[in-house]
Amino acid sequence: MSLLEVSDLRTSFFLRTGELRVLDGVNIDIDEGEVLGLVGETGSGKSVTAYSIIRLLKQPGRIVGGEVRWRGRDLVTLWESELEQEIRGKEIAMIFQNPREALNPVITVGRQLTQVLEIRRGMSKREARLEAIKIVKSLHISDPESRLNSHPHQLSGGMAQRIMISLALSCEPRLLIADEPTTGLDVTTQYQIVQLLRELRDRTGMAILIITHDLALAAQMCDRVAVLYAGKIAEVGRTEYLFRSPRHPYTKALLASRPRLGLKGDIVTIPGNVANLMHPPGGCRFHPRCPNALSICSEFQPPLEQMEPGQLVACHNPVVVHQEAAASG
Amino acid sequence: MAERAQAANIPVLTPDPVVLAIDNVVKHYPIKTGAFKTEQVRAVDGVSLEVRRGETLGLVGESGCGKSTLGRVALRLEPPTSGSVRFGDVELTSLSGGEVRRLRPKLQMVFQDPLGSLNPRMKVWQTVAEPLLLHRLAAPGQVRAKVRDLFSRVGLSDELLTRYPHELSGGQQQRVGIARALAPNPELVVLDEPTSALDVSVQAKLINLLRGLKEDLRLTQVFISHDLSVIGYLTDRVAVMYLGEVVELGPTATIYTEPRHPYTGALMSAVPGDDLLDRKTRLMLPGEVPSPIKPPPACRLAPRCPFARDRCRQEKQVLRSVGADHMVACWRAAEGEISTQDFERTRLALEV
Repeated sequence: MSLLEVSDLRTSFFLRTGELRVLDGVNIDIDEGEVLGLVGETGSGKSVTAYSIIRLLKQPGRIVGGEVRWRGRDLVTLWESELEQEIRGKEIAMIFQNPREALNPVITVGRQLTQVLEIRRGMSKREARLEAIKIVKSLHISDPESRLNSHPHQLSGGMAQRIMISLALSCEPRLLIADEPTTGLDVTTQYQIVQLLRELRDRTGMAILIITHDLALAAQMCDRVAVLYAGKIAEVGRTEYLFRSPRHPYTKALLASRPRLGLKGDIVTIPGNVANLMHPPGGCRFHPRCPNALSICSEFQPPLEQMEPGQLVACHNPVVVHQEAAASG
Repeated sequence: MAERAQAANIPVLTPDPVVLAIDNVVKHYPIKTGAFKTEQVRAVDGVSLEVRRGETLGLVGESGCGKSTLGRVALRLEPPTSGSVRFGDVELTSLSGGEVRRLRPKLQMVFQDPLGSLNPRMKVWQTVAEPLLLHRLAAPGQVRAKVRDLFSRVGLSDELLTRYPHELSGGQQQRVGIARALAPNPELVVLDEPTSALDVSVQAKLINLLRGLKEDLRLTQVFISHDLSVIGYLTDRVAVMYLGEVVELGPTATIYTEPRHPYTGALMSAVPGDDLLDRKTRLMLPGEVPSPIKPPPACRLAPRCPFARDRCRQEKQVLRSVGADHMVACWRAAEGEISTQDFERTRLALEV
């Protein structure tokens, strides 16, 4: 059984001008110890998916339908107090894109960490301090004692992200949601964080949901990848299948639009603009931009269907895999 | 310092005239570090570069390496603390404010934040028309036609002319920023992270536009970015910066395939290859970029460099030639002690 099973999740933002249907039936599941990547462009709903899962949506956003099954319980209908006490931060932890903003600026990072340990894990001050040092050390932070005595603004971006990760790990969660964990960090630091997350997964066996717009990061880190377009999953599958032989035209186009060294001529781009979520196109939301579109595409939303084992695609006219390419790949 | 000046004078095979010559430029910013204490942030610390007509020079490096500061100094948006910036025959550093303003049409910039760099109270056509009117580059009767022409050049439809910046998407805003920079027919354009705020698919279209403009107009550009894939696609030569200094300089293809400086080696091993699935171990630099207030005294990479020797901690490194048009500020690379293959070997050793 999956650790987390999101089915037909619908989240809307109710604005003065109307309902913005940001998530329009999202289906994903994560197994124990699995790293799942959720990739998509701005406005595709990837962060909203994460915030919906642990119910941290800000006004005027609201879950309007669907289920989030966490080890048998539906988080959408769970009491807020139960969710807060038993699940959020404890079983499911989250790290954010801007770690320095997510930390409390007026108390030391050490105190932030020991507070969690005291409250959540019932430790004494002394125990908490020792445990905090142990956690921070395990993240390869040099000179942990003095780091713990610093305030967030005294830390570099990479260091602040490590502190965020140590906070998230303090309750030994079974799922870590990482929202753009390396965006805004420098390339050399990015790689250190990626290495660290990989190592943590291997060591603790926790599952990780990585939300990112960075295809290269997803390819490097994830066991499986889900591609989100305008609030719906376009394609989800094992990382190597998805990158070697994408079946959804959007995935294929997204992969082709990367600039590369030595590339001659224009980069292949996706025509048109991202779907307007206030008035999304009928049928498949990608059809006005899709090179493979058929007449049926503007009428019916394609269901997410199995193509190869473990690769699901929501498309009426998926990309044909070339036999040779598939064989050599 | 004499060595550095000498290095900048090495003759280059390309016959095109030098448009921009930066010589030993230093830019320090004072910051208060205590009630009575001021220290200097050494944002740019002795950089010499040349940009030739029709060429696109890429400036890469991580945040805080001074690449944006250098771009601003190159256009005389800020005066350098010391050093010389020559635009053609004109020494920009000694110009008065009025003289800089008269030269401004030839020196243009595209900024990273497209919305923040457009006047929110002006319709976008007015933003593009402003430099034309200000510098009397078009007769009032011709301005509209010129603006329309610029709009079509950057791929914006006429119906957007009368919109305000906030009504446009990020990609469209950046196109307006580019149209404004192109309006006065500049001779040098500095683009500071023009695609960084955009999504992959929007970014791809903008990159195609920039490449087309470069070919059609033979623009001379300095392209600043931390995105190595974009730099690799769009530039002719690359200068790699670390902590206010240029550590390596050379033709783009050479820098990407045969990096000689260990820092460049680490950056390049982070560039996603054609096969994104190739989970190669990267050449990892331990630790973090030190503070530009107190940079390491000799080679600035030495504390993080897996190839560092005692000499690296004692001797300041200057750019030395290691091949055609290829210079590196690392004595071990210049004297043939380390090469691109060593970066590969170290990377593989890490993998085990």
